[in-house]
Amino acid sequence: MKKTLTINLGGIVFHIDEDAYLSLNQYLENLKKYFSNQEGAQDILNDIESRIAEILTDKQSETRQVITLEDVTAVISIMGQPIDIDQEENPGTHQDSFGERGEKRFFRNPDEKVIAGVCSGIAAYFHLDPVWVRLIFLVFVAAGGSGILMYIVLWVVIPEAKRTTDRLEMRGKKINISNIERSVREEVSELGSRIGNLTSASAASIKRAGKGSGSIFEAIGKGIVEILTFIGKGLVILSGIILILVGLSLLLLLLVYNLGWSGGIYADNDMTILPFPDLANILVGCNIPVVYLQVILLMVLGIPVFMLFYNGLRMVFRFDRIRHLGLTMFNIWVVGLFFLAWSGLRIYNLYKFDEEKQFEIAMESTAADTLFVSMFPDDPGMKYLRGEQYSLMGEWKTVITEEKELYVVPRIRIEQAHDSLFSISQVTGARGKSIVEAHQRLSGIRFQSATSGSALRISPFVRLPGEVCWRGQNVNLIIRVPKGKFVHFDHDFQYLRPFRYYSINSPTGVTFQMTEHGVDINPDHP
Amino acid sequence: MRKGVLELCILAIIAAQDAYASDIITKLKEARLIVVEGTLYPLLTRLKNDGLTVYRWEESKSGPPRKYHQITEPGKRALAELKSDWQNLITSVEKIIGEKQ
Repeated sequence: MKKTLTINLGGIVFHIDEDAYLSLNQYLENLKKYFSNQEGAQDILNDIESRIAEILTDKQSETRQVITLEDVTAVISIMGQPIDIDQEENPGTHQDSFGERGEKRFFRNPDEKVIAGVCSGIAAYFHLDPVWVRLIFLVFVAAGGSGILMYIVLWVVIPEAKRTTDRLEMRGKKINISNIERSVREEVSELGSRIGNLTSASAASIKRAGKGSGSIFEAIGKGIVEILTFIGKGLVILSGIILILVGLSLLLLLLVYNLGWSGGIYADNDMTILPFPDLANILVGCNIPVVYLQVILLMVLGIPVFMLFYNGLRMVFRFDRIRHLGLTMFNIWVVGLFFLAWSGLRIYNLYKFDEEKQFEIAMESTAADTLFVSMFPDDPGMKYLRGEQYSLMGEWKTVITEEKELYVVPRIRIEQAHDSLFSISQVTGARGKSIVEAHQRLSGIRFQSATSGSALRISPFVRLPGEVCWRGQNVNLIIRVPKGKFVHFDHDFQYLRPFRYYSINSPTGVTFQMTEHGVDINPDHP
Repeated sequence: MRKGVLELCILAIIAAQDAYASDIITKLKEARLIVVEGTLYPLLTRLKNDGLTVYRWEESKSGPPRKYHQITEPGKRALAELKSDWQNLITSVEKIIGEKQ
């Protein structure tokens, strides 16, 4: 038993099986879409419907009153699919006219799929063998796994070719430079001929000036619209390509940074920017799970970047909008913002209280000409001096030791002394959720400094034994130099960057002189 | 190559006798000029829009009313032009094919 429907086709009533109806309806929809750009589309469709009605009437008899799927299939093969009609009507120009209608679109290919048909869809679009596209994807998967992500993104973004017309549109024109050039030239010459038509049309309308008024302006207006449309189309595709490139590189950068796929990003001043997971681990780890922040970062930064990329794809390949994608993404983004604000508050609390300890480092020869600064040669930090240092919060640099302990680079500030004597202060600080915690951290800091004569020795690093998370522990050395006197840092300091405004590259160390105008680096003397 | 030829044939059929789609299709199919019927309708509409043909409705005993196509004066002129174009083309092509042989 089958369900039947009653339809009116070209003014005649038919009983039709449900499956036959679906097939016929789909066929008429396809024709409608195909003819939609032609003048008199409705006339053509009415004629075709009448003809179908005629053929179906012939097929009916007293004993067979219901249209079956077979009948419909037969009708379709008599009338022809849009592509057959197109080929007969415009022999040899079929591919071009398809391209012109913008009906070449990206689809996933369900006929040749391994997972979801993304690769074979791309292959169909570019007229390649799917094997090559799959191989490229596998290379991306092997090289860090980005292929998996790309695949998922494309899976979501590209619709599946469900209808026959989809499958036809999936295989567009072969993309190569000469084809692109040709289609642009065709578009231009078509525009030229349209303008030509336009001038003859306006000439004709001048002749008929008595009949209608304003038709010249109408025609000119039409022409301007056509030119603008042409320019607009090009601009849309161009900006689509730019969006795709920008979106994709930002997405990649974000992923590399956020997931820590690279060992660190090399910055210009010999410093390496820590990948996000490591940075987050040092700054908020021990209290807030880093994965949590990674997800938030992906939501807040990744979604806008992804939408850039998605809209670029749509501008270039003109596939249908994915329903509710924009709204869904926006909602996720807002949720991400909310969590970002919330974790911002939590992070602030981790650093809320501040403890500080300040003392003067006694010095014997405060009246000497030059203060010599060097490092303790047997300090445990010495072996990390030449290793990689990571930038952390601007000027703060860290080293992560083999024992996964944190070493922080101390900061040295050179100031002008108020009198004619050298003096040195050391300010040690730490932060925490509470005063007690900050205080505990402060007393955990290991940093040595000692003077003998006119020499100052310090540890190369502020050591934080047993700590893997940094909570503002730091040491500031303030060296006050009298006017006209010198301070010399030995060659070990070229590996450390304790100064805010200077970096030392000299293998023999560096000398600063205090002048009236401030610090002078590498004066003539010593 | 067939571009324009179908229009010529349709015009010729209509010029000989007012015809409705089925007649035209039968003739074109006999001549193996078309394979699928869908091709005809856009062409008929185009001819009508260009003012080369007009149509009238006629009741039919065995089905829906039929659209009978009829050639117009401009249609006749266009047909004559197309015919002579076609003759010229045949002559030119024959000349070249003949020379080769």
